[in-house]
Amino acid sequence: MKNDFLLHAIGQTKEDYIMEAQQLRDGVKKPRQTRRKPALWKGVLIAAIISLMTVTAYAADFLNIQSLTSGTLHFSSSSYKKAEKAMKIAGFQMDLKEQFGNGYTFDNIRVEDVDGRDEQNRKVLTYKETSVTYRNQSGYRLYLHAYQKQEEITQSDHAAVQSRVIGGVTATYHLDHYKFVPADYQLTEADKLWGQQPGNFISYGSDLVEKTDVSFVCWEKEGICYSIMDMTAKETPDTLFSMAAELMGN
Amino acid sequence: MDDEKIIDLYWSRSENAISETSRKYGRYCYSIAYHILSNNEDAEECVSDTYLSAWNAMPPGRPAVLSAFLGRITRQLSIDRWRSRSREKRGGGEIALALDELTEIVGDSQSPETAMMEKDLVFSLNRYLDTLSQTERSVFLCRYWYLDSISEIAEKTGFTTSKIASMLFRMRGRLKKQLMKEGLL
Repeated sequence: MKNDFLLHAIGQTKEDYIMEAQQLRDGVKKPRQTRRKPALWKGVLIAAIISLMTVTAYAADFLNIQSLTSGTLHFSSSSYKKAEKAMKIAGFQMDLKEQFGNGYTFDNIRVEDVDGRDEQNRKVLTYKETSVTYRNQSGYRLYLHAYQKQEEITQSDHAAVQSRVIGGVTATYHLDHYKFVPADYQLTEADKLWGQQPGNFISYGSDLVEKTDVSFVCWEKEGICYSIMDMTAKETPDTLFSMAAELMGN
Repeated sequence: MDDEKIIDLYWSRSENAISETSRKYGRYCYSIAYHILSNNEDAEECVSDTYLSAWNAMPPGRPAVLSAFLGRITRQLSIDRWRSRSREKRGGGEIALALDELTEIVGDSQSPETAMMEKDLVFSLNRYLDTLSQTERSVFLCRYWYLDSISEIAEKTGFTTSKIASMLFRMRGRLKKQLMKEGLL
């Protein structure tokens, strides 16, 4: 075997790994830590809110989880037909729809690790999460996340704005307020007070100071935790609840 | 435009397929080609040839990850071009260095270079990559898939060049061990 035969074979390795390496080349950094314990985001550490994948998980004290970040990407596809494969890789079945009654349609599905890290940035917990992106006709996106219930993680650490019982399952609507600030940003007294309010989070690492609201409906069914997230809180609670009901088959 | 729609354009034989591909992935493909060829004109030609190959491959092809599909084509076309250029005049660049490094793995192996052998090799490489941490894997693929220089990888990771060089050295050693164990060397 010659070296260029090996070079050629390396060219055929897994697509996910190729794209994972491309992320490094693009200079995409993973968020390391958020100042306030429950403030959690994953994805790209930039101000653009579209990169915010999920929020408001809360790690229990005994594991001393300070942040949750995206880990290894195991699977990614923009074909609904690959959803079964995604679930097999994730290790659990979830409720899923190709299209909702309100027009939101399947766009892509990903399975990746979520890594819980302690103060020294050591990985103390890893679990798989399936994320599905839906788009409506105007291109607006909503995100469905699902993972097997983890004793150490809850979906929100503060009171819901609304809750509804759908087919015996309680779904709750939350509205969180995020302020993204640069890594070297000095918090003002007003910022500190703002950050202490339930549902308000300050996350470090963006290029500019930006504020945004994130809404989501979450529920647990048959050991699987679900959330449907709206990254700019544009959709009404009714819309998110109705999508949750459709997913549950009601 | 999302990837599924771009693929649909190929399937419907719409000429917009190429312009949309170029808009979304032109820079990505160019960066792969340029790293291998270190020449603007050659890199641009390889990117154009990538679109042509994609046009010929879809249909019947329907890639699951369009970016990786295009990247693979660009990489192979660029390596082929580098080889034909090297025949005329020994080409330098990162690919020559990377090939030298890969020689450490293959040594004087006399194993055959058949399609079946390549298939087994790819399976083995994927198994090997599975065992690496995400950082190690990305460093390995930046070097031997994207053919980035060690200093570029150091800059992206925040590690020193000597750390990257030693990571690569260790990874080559482990890969060699695995390939030997699996009878591929």
